[in-house]
Amino acid sequence: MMTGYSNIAVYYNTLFSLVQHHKYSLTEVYDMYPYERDLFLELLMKHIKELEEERKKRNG
Amino acid sequence: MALPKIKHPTYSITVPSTKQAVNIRPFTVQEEKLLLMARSSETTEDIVSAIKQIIKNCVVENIDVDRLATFDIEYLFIKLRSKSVGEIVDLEYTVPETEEKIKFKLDLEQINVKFNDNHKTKFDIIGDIGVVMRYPTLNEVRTIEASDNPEETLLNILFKCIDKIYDQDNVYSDFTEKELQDFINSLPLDTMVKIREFFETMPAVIHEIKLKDKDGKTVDVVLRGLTNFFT
Repeated sequence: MMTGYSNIAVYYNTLFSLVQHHKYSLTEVYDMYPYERDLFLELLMKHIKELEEERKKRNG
Repeated sequence: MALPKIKHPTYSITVPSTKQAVNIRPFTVQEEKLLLMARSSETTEDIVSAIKQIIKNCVVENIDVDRLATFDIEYLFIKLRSKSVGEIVDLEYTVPETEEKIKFKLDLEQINVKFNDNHKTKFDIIGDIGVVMRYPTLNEVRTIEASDNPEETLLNILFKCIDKIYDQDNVYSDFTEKELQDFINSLPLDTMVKIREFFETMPAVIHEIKLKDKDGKTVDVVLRGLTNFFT
């Protein structure tokens, strides 16, 4: 693929998630390099997974 | 006055046709949108225009993208993609005989322009008279592909790529279309063979790889042009 995404819909979905759920501004995301955005997404996913596991442990 | 700030990392790269060293910066998420929008329009013109715009934006020095050879554009874009999105692309090759699909990974940093040892840009035509050729631009190649009469368009472009004409005393680079046409009409028949040779041996972004099919048989694959590297 020429870009990190197969189509523009996936691109906008990712942007929306980063802005809506993770408090980045659109300007901040636009100024990232695609590999940086992918790295941030990966780290966020990892973080969410860890939080979820912690929550599960707490709830027994 | 405040000094300028360096906002982007830059990488040195050589333009294959001119050997000019230039600096490139990765494209941003906002610029990536240009490519995705062009792709969704599904017209080659839009994709070519987006690629050229990205190159214009990301080469730090002032270069005339419209005058770059096709293989320069391909090479620069592959390197830009590598620095911006990542070096590795996931590709799929369909074996023509069996239609088996083989998935493989390609490292874009390994891609280079291949030069043919027998390639010459300058050659004598008759006596001391000769020509210096230039490489066709992406727009010119696109014109051939889109033409209703590709043979005739190809011929026109072949002659348009005559950059300079020389004789014993002078080098002529500033000539009109009429003067060029008169010169072409006076050329001996074998000139066409030499001009064709120039195009056939022209540098190209080519990458050869060996894959294994499901029976362990080696499949030789030659990747050529942007479509092959990204689909």
